[in-house]
Amino acid sequence: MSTRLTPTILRFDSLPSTNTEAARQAVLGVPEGLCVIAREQTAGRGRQQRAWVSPKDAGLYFSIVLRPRLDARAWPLVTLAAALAASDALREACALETDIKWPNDLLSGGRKLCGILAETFETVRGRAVVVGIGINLNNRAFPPEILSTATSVEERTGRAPEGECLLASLTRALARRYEALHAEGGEAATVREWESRSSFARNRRVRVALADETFEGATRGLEPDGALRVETGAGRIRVVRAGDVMALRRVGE
Amino acid sequence: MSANDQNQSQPHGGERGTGAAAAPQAEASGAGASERAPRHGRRRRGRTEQKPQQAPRRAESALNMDELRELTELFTAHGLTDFEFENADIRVRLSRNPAPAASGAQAVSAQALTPHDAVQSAASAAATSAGAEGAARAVGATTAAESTEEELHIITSPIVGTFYRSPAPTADAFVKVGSRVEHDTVVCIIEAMKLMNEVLAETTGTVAKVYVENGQPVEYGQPLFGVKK
Repeated sequence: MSTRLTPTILRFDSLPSTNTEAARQAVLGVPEGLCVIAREQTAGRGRQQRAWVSPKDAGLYFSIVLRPRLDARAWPLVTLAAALAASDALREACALETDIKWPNDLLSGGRKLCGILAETFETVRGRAVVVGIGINLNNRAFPPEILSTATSVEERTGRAPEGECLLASLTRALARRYEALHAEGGEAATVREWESRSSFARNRRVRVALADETFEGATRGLEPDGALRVETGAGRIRVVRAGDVMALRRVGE
Repeated sequence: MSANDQNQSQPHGGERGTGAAAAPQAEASGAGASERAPRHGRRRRGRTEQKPQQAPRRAESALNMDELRELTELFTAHGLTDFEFENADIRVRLSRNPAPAASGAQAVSAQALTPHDAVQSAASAAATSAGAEGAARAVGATTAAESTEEELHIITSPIVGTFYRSPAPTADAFVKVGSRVEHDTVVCIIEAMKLMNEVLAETTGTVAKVYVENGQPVEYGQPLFGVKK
């Protein structure tokens, strides 16, 4: 069965969080493909309710409602597909190449350019996932504490990006990646694409911070559900599904 | 937290990664259920009504230990929730129990319903040997009349990931022991690849057990909460 995704965009001047608004719409039963964008977020958030700094017109604040027809175990691949789509869009609209840090942060020059947070919700039309994508367009409003770890399209390309152009590329790329994920063999293909696009996929020295433990190792590709394999020594492989992954120096450097 | 090779709470230890829940395969042979080759694949359905668990007791047994062990292995391997066997001497009933809080393991209770009240140690011996094989962590045998623990509805994990009891590290837990839940009450989040999966109670009642600690990796189908109706 082929999946067609037709994005519809709902625009707001200001929202607490585009994910929260998209989730509200999802719960009410909107079809998949509904996109919510806002010029600013007053309570933008990331993983574990960390704040996502979202000043007016400094970023693309975007969320989309999806209703994947995938086995529950394959749903996390939606976030990897979203990272690939954002990377596609930045390449197409801004001529900017990005790296993907596991599982779905986009980096440029080793600093964070784009973050993705996905949340599932029970809705009147079944389970839905809301994928939130935040892309830093410029860093004029970055607070000092993130200046050393964050970057923006403007900083990396030397010119102010065309927001509408990037939005159009992003929705097209999301539709393409999402449809590809649902195609025959699409899950494995998505994992392979991710591995080919990310410098974190293999042989990368990383430090993994979990809730109660931190360990280091070398990356060894992904599991079929997108989990990161990390070899910690003596051939021991640990499989990471949540937590913060930080790059150490490259193997062999 | 989510490096799931740390996970020690699974009864069979063989499932990892995407949680390949092996399809049970019955191998045909001549002499009925107890002769079938046991397979250790496990299929747990999302939610099952659980039967009471009893303390191990002894029971008269016209069934030898090996047979009882095979039965429990089959029962586990095929993901059954109830099984009854009867012949001239004995009636055996197996039913799946909620996981004990300490281990998160599955439990199987064998009730030997005998015409005599006399009890022997065969069943509890079988329990030990079955447990040793890892097919069933707890095999209790008891007479039918005894039923002490109330039924718990078990909320299980829909995916492999990391279990969070609250939306943020500093926030209050969604639910605690004693919390009243409705069908649409969010009880926890399971994170996998930055996908935050809301888990709903999908039942009404009071939270009686929390089987997993915050921040720990969980497997597909692993019990998370026990809810008393």
